[in-house]
Amino acid sequence: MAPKNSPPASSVFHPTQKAEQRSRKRLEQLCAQRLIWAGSTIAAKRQEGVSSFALGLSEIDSHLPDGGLSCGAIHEWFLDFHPPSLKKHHWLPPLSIILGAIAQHHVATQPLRIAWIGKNCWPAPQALAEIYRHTGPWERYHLFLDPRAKSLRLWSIIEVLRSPSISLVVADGSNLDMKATRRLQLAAQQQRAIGFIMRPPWELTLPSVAYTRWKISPHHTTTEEPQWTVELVRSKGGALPRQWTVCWINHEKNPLRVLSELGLRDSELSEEHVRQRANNRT
Amino acid sequence: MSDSERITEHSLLTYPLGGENVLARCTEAQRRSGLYSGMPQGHARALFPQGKLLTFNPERSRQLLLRLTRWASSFSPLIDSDLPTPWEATTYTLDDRFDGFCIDLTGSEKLFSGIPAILQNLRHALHSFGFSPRLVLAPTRGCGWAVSRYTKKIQVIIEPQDVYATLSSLPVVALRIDQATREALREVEINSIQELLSIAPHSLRQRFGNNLLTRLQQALGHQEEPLPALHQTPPLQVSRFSESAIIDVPIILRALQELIQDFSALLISHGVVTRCFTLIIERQGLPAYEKKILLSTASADASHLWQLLRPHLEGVSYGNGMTECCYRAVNTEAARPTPLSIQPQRELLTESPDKLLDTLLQTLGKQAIRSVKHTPSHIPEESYHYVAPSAAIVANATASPPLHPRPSVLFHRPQPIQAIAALPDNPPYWLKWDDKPYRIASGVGPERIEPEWWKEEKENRDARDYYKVQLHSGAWLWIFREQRSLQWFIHGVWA
Repeated sequence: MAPKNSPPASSVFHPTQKAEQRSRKRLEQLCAQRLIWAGSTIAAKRQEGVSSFALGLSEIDSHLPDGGLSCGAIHEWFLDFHPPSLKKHHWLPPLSIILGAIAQHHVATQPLRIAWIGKNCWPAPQALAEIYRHTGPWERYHLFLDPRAKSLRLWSIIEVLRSPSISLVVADGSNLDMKATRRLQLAAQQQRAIGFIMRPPWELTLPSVAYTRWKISPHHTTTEEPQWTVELVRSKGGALPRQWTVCWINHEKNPLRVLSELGLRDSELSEEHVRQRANNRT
Repeated sequence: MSDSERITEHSLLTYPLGGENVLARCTEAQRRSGLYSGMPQGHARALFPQGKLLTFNPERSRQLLLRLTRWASSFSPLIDSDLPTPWEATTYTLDDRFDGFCIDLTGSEKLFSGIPAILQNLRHALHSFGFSPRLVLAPTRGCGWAVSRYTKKIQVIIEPQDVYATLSSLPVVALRIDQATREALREVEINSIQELLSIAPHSLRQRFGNNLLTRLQQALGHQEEPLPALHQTPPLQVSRFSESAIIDVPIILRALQELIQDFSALLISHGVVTRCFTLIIERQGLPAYEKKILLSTASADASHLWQLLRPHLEGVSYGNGMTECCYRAVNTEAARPTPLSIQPQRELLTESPDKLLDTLLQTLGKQAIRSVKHTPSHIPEESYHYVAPSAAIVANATASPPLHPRPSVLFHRPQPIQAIAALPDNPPYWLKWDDKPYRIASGVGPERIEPEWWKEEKENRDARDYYKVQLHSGAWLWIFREQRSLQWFIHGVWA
């Protein structure tokens, strides 16, 4: 029973709330001084309750500002492996990491309905069967689109990003210019959708408005499990470039594991990032 | 059929084609005199001088056949006319092979005192209507069609064990194949079904496409060919007339949008939804505009139907104005109530992708929207097929996951490579892929994959020994060697 003279519950000021207010004020000050350049945006997004897509690798997810890949954004992926095909402009998308993330999502939280746009980005059905090994029928969660022309591909990606019935879009993003990536980003933002855009390695230097850019390179291993170096090349949310070595373990519910963290690439850090690192250390 | 005059056995039904009149249809007696469809009128008159010339009316003939089909549905509700479908690249006008219908008599014999009684009833009735029919009772529709068109028997019953032998003696055109496939077969001098049956099915598919193999399998009874139930009711439709032609495009669009709401209300009042509907706009000074809209899932939602139709109205020319517009449901099905889910909160994907599928379907076409379906095969590239999303839902068989790891990227066709292994069963230590040599750091295998024992063409297939090999760069490849040819291929990459 509450004491007679106690204030109403809503007006009780808890010490935790006070601490939170203080830290928010401090955060705003830091933003105003431009010591953390994206802090305010992240805070605002968190207040809005923006969710994120966790890759299922805690070491990588914890490094990202939203605890995963931000929803309402597009993320670009590049595989640093050129098959010596006779066909010009033949390239492969880094699908293993995506499949690993889908597997852990399906087991941990909820089934995702996924649209794969562009035949070059369709995963092997056998690989899909492997990641759903522990969860039963999976075919109905996947939609495969094969638009013939580039303009139709762009239109399809936008339409699917806008549709609330699709959880994740994995699309062939080759030959997309800056304007096209901006249209994709706007479509994703509009519906708080998440799009994984697969691009050929030679487009890594092209400008884009994607939230994050990831470069996946095969990593030599002495075991039978394939390994890759996962490199965060760029992130708009304030996360610094970093590399991890990731391994695929077959028959596991969550097949991806981080083996080691390779640290920051100082040579590629901007002055702003270096200052931020110094602040963190102090 | 002629427009006005009564047709008798002495009538010569002609049709204008390419500047001259040709014979469109002929009776059994006329055939015996050497007449055939497509014969020039002068030649036909010379061979059949007693013939009285009448003009053939294809549309009337088509309607008559449909009426006859409806009449014959008293024997079984599963009945279909042999008229060509609109998407078949063929002409009805000069091809009398389409004049017929097919009834599924399974179970009907008990109602009509046996199959012979049904055939007798049909024969008497058709004779009384003035036709001289050929009746064939066969285990498959394809076999019945072939025998009725390409043999001279008036009535025949084919037992299941005789299907193979009966079809073997017939020409390939008896398989209901299109003109292009017929030409392709003629080029390689394949004339009879007997010759086709001696060729492995996968070779037929590769050389002549799916259609020929499907027709052959259907005729032999290896593939189902269900008959649709005949529609007895007129299609549901709503229309709006205008006393004077409407020229203003925004007003036309508003009228069409309002009418689609009436159309939706009509469907709902009948308790049905549509999977295909047509918009017909009568234009002054121009022929009528007709647009058919296909839906992936049947619907009666006005806003959804309008959303699908609206983009197609962008470039339409209305001539001197619209005088009439009409929405017609091409096919309808009973609306089903949304089932209550008894599943717990696991299923969170509440929004159905049907609306998205319909939008994509209108722009990308059917072939660009796929779902994956498991097919029983050991061969990796054949164990899954990409099919239309609706087909995948119907056949929702899931394969057991593979025992051994599979690459994330699988090439649709394995690419040939050169490789050298130290020992026959060892993984290779060197390979050349498109003239680029690679040294292999490590490898695992072999995993033997044999062709399916239950398939006839297994003799033509080679067993494969698969290896998982790692290049010095760290990339893992999935390669295999064919057991007999010893040829190496790359099939996938752990990308």
